Amino acid sequence: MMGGANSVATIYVVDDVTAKPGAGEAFLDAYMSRYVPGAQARGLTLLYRLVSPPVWLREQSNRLLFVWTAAGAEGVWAAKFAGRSDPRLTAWWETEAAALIESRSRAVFSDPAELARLGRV
Amino acid sequence: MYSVLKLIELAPALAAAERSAFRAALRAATVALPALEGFLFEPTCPGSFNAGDLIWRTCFTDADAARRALDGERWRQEGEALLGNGTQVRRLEQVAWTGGACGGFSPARGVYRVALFCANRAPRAERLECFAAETCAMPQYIRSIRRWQLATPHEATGSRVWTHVWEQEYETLAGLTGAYMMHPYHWAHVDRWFDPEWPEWLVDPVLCHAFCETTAPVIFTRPRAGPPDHQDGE
Repeated sequence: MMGGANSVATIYVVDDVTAKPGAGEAFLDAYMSRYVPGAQARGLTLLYRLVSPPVWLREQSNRLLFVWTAAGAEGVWAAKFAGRSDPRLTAWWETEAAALIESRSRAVFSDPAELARLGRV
Repeated sequence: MYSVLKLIELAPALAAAERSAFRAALRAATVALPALEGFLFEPTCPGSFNAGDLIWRTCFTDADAARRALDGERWRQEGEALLGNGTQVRRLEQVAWTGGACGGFSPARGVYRVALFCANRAPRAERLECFAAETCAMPQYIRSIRRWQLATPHEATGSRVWTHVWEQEYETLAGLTGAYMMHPYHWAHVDRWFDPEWPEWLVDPVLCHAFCETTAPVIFTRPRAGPPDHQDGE
């Protein structure tokens, strides 16, 4: 949502994951238990977790969305810097998560009404 | 133009007087280099990281001119001897390159920033091209970047085999620490190449980020007609 003139813009960091066939629930469990606590410790807030279709598929792939929020550019940088030197985070994505993921993307969003303010630096 | 950059970390045990003497001696050796088109020799500002204490940057008309100068007896006896003295120099990050993508106009004075990157995570050609194109587009969005150059060094030594030299000049420090760092084109877009959490991750987490104050233009891309622009911290 768009904030007031003195508030910090909410930034949305979205993980879009396509699980390997039949691995959707296992990935969700792993993400929630072994990724989420660290991300929260880095200052991010998990706003939504969504699964499509809303049934665990056995021989096909579920798609999962995780929508995180950060408090402005400062919040994004703080989370980045806190995680960048942590080898456990790299191991999570490259080993544990990779075993359950077919493909994934990450993207950063904001309310379009915030673009002018975010670019005014 | 052929450019040579060294980030020099002095031995921590060196006293202030020894540091000053080192700087003066290296400055004298540098000024004496033949065919020097320009040089910068300044202490790194607080906030630099993995960048040592001093930024030493020289440029020459071409690689042959640089080779003649840096292979010369005087430089080897004076400059190289200083830089190779392990009791005075703890670490050197070094790159040399010819040209590169560049743009903008140098301010008369301000801030020079250089970053050394090592793109060693699945560095496929199409990924490197995309990274370079997006990096070169930063000045279109981040207007505080007055002058810039992205180059691929053909000589690189130090803590990594550096693959990219990313230089900028700003009118003020706020242009770097404020606009450059806080613009969404940076933290929400280009930074994904640097972030181990993104599938696009390309650049080794070990990088050099050095900046210093300037009193003359730094990034030259063609030979100058007049006398060389020298800048040092004296």
